[in-house]
Amino acid sequence: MEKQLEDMKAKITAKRCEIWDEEPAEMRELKQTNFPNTNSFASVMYAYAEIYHLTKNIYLYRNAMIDGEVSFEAIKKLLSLWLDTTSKRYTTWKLVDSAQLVVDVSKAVQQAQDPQAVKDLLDEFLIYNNKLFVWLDTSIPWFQLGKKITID
Amino acid sequence: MARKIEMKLGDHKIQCELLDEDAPLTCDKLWESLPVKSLTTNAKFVGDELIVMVPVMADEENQLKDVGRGDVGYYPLQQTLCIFFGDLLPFGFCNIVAKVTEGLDGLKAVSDQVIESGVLPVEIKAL
Repeated sequence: MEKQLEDMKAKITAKRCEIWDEEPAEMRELKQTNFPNTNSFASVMYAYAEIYHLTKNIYLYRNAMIDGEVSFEAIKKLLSLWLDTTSKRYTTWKLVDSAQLVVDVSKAVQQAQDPQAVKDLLDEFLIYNNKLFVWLDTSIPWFQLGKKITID
Repeated sequence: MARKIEMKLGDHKIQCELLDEDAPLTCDKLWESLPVKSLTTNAKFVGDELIVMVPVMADEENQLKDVGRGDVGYYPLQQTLCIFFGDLLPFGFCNIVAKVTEGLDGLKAVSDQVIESGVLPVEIKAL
């Protein structure tokens, strides 16, 4: 495995272990945002969509790379573009630590030569982002909201 | 002999047998990850289903959408175990990895508790 990607994967694993049992501080920051008109509600919902789409795209690109549907170089480029865009959005929603991790993964992917190493890295990154998603998902009172709010 | 796991969802325990022959790679990865602590919540768009994220990335294998009461699936996109405790049609295909052998009847009460509180702690261990 490429050393840089191996180091990056180890860093993500460590970060994932940090946030597995305890909600990350940045998630609390997100939930305390105070935007005009909405307080934190809209930022929580938008961040929710942001994380969901990042995980979905990582999974899509990962599978396309494994299947050989798209060239490795094209996957690297497309993935990096998506990651770079997402990192800016994560920052907007106060997910600053995760935004930096997204930037670091993007750089590592751009320089990668081994598809298997990229797959291994993306697998770990997928778990990390899905755990972030779970923290957010479980903090939204879906079941109470669903009974009280009607959207016409 | 099938490998068995125990899941404690809130205060309720269930036992499951892994489907090693049907989904060997997913079962191996799940087994290697144990013990695991996580959270459970209800599936939002399907009725009688509890979901639990696990730190396991497995590829698609033994994928079915026609699941039965007591089936346990694994959803690769979100690294999530799906515990089906009623008659339902899940939202998408998942790897069917285990079958609940004990404690199935208590899952409706767990689900009701989750709807009330939003989330419950989970511990999964090998037996």
